[in-house]
Amino acid sequence: MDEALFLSGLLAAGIRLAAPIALAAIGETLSERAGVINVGIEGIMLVGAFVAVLFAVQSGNPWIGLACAVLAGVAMGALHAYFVVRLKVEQIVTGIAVLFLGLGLSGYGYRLTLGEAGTAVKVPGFRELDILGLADIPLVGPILFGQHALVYIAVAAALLMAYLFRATRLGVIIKAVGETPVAADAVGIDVDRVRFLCVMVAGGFAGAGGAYLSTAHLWGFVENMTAGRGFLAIACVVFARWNPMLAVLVALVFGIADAAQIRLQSIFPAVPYQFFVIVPYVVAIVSLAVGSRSSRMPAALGIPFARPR
Amino acid sequence: MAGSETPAPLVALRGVTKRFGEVVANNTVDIEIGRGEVVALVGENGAGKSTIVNMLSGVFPPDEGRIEIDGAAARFTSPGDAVAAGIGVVHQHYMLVPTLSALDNLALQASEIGLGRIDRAALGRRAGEVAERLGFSFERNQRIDSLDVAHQQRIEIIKALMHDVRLLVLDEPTAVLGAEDKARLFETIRELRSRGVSVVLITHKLDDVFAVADRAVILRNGAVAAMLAVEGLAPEIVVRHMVGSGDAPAVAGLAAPQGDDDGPIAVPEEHAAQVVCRVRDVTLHRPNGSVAVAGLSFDLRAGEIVAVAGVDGNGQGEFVRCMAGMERPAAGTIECFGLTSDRRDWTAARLRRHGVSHIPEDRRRSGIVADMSLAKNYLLSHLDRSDFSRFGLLRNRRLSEVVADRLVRYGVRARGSGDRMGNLSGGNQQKVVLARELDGDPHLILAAHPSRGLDLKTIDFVHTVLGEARAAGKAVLLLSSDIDEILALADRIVVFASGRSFGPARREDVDRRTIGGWIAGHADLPA
Amino acid sequence: MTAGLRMPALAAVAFLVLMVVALILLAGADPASLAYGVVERALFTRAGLLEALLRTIPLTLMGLGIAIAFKARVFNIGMDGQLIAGSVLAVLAAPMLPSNVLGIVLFLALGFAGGAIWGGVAGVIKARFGGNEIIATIMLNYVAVQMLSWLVRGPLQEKMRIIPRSDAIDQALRLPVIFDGTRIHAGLIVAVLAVVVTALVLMRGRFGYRLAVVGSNEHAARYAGISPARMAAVVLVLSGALAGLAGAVEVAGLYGRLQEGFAPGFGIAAIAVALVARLNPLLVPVSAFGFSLLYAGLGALARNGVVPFPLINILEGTIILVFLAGSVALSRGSGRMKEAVADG
Repeated sequence: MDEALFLSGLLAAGIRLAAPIALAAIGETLSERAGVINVGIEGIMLVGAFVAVLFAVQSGNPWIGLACAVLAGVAMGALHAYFVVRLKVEQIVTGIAVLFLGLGLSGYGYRLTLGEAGTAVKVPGFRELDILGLADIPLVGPILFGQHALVYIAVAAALLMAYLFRATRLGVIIKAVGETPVAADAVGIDVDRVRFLCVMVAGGFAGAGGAYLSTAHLWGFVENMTAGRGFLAIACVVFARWNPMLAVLVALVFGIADAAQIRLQSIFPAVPYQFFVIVPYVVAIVSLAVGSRSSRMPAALGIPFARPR
Repeated sequence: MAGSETPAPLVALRGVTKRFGEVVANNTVDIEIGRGEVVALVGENGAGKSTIVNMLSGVFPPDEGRIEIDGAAARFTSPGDAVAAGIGVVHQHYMLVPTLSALDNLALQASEIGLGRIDRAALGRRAGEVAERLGFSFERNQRIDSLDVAHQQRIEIIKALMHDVRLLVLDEPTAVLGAEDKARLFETIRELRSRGVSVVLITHKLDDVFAVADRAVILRNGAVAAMLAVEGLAPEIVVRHMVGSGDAPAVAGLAAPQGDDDGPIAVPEEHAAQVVCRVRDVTLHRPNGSVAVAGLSFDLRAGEIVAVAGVDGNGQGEFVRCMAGMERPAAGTIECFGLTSDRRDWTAARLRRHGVSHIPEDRRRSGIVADMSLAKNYLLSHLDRSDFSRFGLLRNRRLSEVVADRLVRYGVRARGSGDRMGNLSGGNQQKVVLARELDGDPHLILAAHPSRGLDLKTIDFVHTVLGEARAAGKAVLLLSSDIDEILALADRIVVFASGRSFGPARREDVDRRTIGGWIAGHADLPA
Repeated sequence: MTAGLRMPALAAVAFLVLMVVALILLAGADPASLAYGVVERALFTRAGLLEALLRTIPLTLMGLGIAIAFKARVFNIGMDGQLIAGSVLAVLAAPMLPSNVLGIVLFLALGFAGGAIWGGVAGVIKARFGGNEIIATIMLNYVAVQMLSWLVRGPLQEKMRIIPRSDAIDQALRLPVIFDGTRIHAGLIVAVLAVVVTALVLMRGRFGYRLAVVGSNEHAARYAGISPARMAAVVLVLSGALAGLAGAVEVAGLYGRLQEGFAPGFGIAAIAVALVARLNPLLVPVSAFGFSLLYAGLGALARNGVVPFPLINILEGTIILVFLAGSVALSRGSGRMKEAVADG
């Protein structure tokens, strides 16, 4: 029973820790399917985290904070898209710039506003739900019914996106734009517009991921609090072979690794904690080595579209 | 212009001019296309055919002049406008998404079904009806990249005809087709004509013109050189208009003679004895994992040209890449110069060091570095040459001297060895690639579609150079989908078709019809 | 098409500049006097100028590493980790080194090797398994930071066991100061040498040629027998080595010991440095000095509470974007942007 409780707790915590990565990964899947990689989503998540806290405190409502974080993410996505889709410059380099901007904007904004006081501000954050009062069911309750609303939203979004790619014409258009943009263009699809929109939506998802970190997982903003989760999200997309549902599952693996390392720290106090902190990163490095050989990459990923002459 | 007397033509180009920088691609072109008429647009590469296709399909507008539909000026700002105006285009490089199924490719353009769920059953029925009218069958649910080019072309045509199409533009549709598929395509074109659909057929093959066209419009240097009714027309006249008066260098290659009389140069026996490569029981897979060729075995000898023929997508590209050390066969072995394909040292670098040179299939993608100078492009295959570097540093002056010499010898039109590769025309780029790959005394030359996309004079040049290489005792593996080229050059011929290989057969033992039959997948000639 | 991109590119530049101005105004500062303050602090005070020069040394070394990597289109963004790995290896072996000039050279060589190893891990993942180097290098950053944190609290902690830092290395292993009365040390010479060697290799060498081919057309490289995967591994080793060297130089030249956070944000800054230098090794030191002036000036003002320090990251991002947009705006209308761009 103890093991079962431990595992149940581990899984519940793993899901909690996976959610921000999953949200960002779902968005990035959409963007990369359309042919645009954004290595700056770490920066967008940071902006989302900061904006969510700021507006949650201002309004007293975490949902308003979340909405603002999504909008900020969309704006950051639009900036990325403007450069890589409109101006057609190098995607990776632009992404790096977006990363710096996000790092700077969140830290700068925080120090100007909430961080100025030097004392902790009370953040009205999200609480875990208790769906139909079932969260108290032993073992499965906390896993299935006691998560944050954003967790359910993330799963729903992944399902919706899987349906989008499998069954709808919009999904076909997005896949075509990322795979063979000339073919999409030849049938009258505005490749750049599709890409622009996908990158903006991806930014929104990253913003939501950041909001989760600062208003659901923790209640407060710390500079650079994403700690590489944006990059883990990109790794998820690759390991999941650009499949949104799989991306969520990979994110869950990272989440569980993170939850496990926190627990292991208290089980093995003799071992320096740093060895546990690196677990999710090492998991990512190992899976890079194991799971990278895939031919499913959208063929036009990273390549700006220009009509042939 | 005088539209009041006769009914306006379906589509007309009026004084259309298009420039790209300094280059005039089309110069005051006037073409009229009547209803239910098949117009062949012929000309050499660079004559301006593709530019017309692109303007008709809305990729870009003309700089001057206008396109009229039913006598009214039409302005296409995007390909969508052309589709709406009833113009369907089958591009030379098919505009299909290789990772999607045929149905999803059809859904891509079916804007009338909205953005939501695709009713694949209904879409399949609609496509099925179009296919049935044309006498086609096609795979609906398989990924495009698992189908051969002829099949892909059928899907492209269905795609174009799913809409209410009044003009169908076919850009070099026969370039990659075998004889049987070609015949079927012509049947389709006739069928379309009988239903009042106009067809513009872009081609550089005279056979195509005489097979289906009502009228031939001949382009030269971006302008209309002649407009002739096909009936009673002599091939020589077309050729003269294409290449201009005075020189008709490769009329033989164009006018497609029966070919049995122009046998290859006799091979010196002492060269023929030397086996350069052994191919044993080789199986090749397509990128999607399906078997392209199984049980391929033959020897490649010094001083001969072996041609690999067949419809594109039947494993030829994979074979050449295996020979070059870029890939390994799925089963069986290739042995060249003591290297074996199942060992670790079967790499492009190793094989090149042993004297394998490679003229890649896709020049723009794999053969050149557009952003670098001609000298640096030449260096690509000669980095190990001792006189080009000292202490790991490049001797740029020495390199420039050598390259400048090659530019003269190969007649490359460029400002000098420092010119940027991307500034050169396709033919001149290919000449630089040839100079690079034939230098340094290679023992085996892999020439994948060495003349694809080039003009007649350059094609002639390529053939001469390859012939000289054979005479010098080099082994040449020629990959080509052009029967004329193969018959003109090869000593022995292998055909890849329908999952197997035919031959190798000696050039003098086969004729055009046998090869055509093999390409179509028949062991013996169809009755 | 390119000609049509000039206005949108200029609009982007205008937007970014306005954004920065607005952010400075939000902080209650005056942009003009802020800019003047930065310049004054950095250029017209001895302390500021020397601080900038001191920072130019590691930024140059790391900027060169980024230039090498990005030229081959290998995106090493894990220089911070490689810097740590290099300095850790050097400090670990320091007690065994002879107390003379040879010891200094070996110390730096160990830094070089440590960075090479850390970069090499990402290189193996990229070359052997096709793993994305961006993710690999950034993950290795986090691992390196944690390892350093453990080392300076555990096995390498100073004998007093008070502050999380190592004991000082032998004075004989320290890089000598080359200008009396300043802290400018012999690392400057190392940096100059690195610039010369890198410039020769990249611009004239066979290796640099291969690198450029891989960076401009991977397919052509493969057809010519150059393995882009192996090249990527070598490039990650080399750029990691330069970061490791920078780490060893910082330890031997400035701090004399290992401590946490001793080169804050240098890995990120190096990317900005190299991009602004347009990956030209000869321009890297110039660009590095420019950014160092910015750091020195802005750092001083931030300490006085004029603006929050993260403005520096905003400026780094903005400068890169302005450069990208600027290169679009300046590319003349005659040619299309890049041939390679067209194929889908």
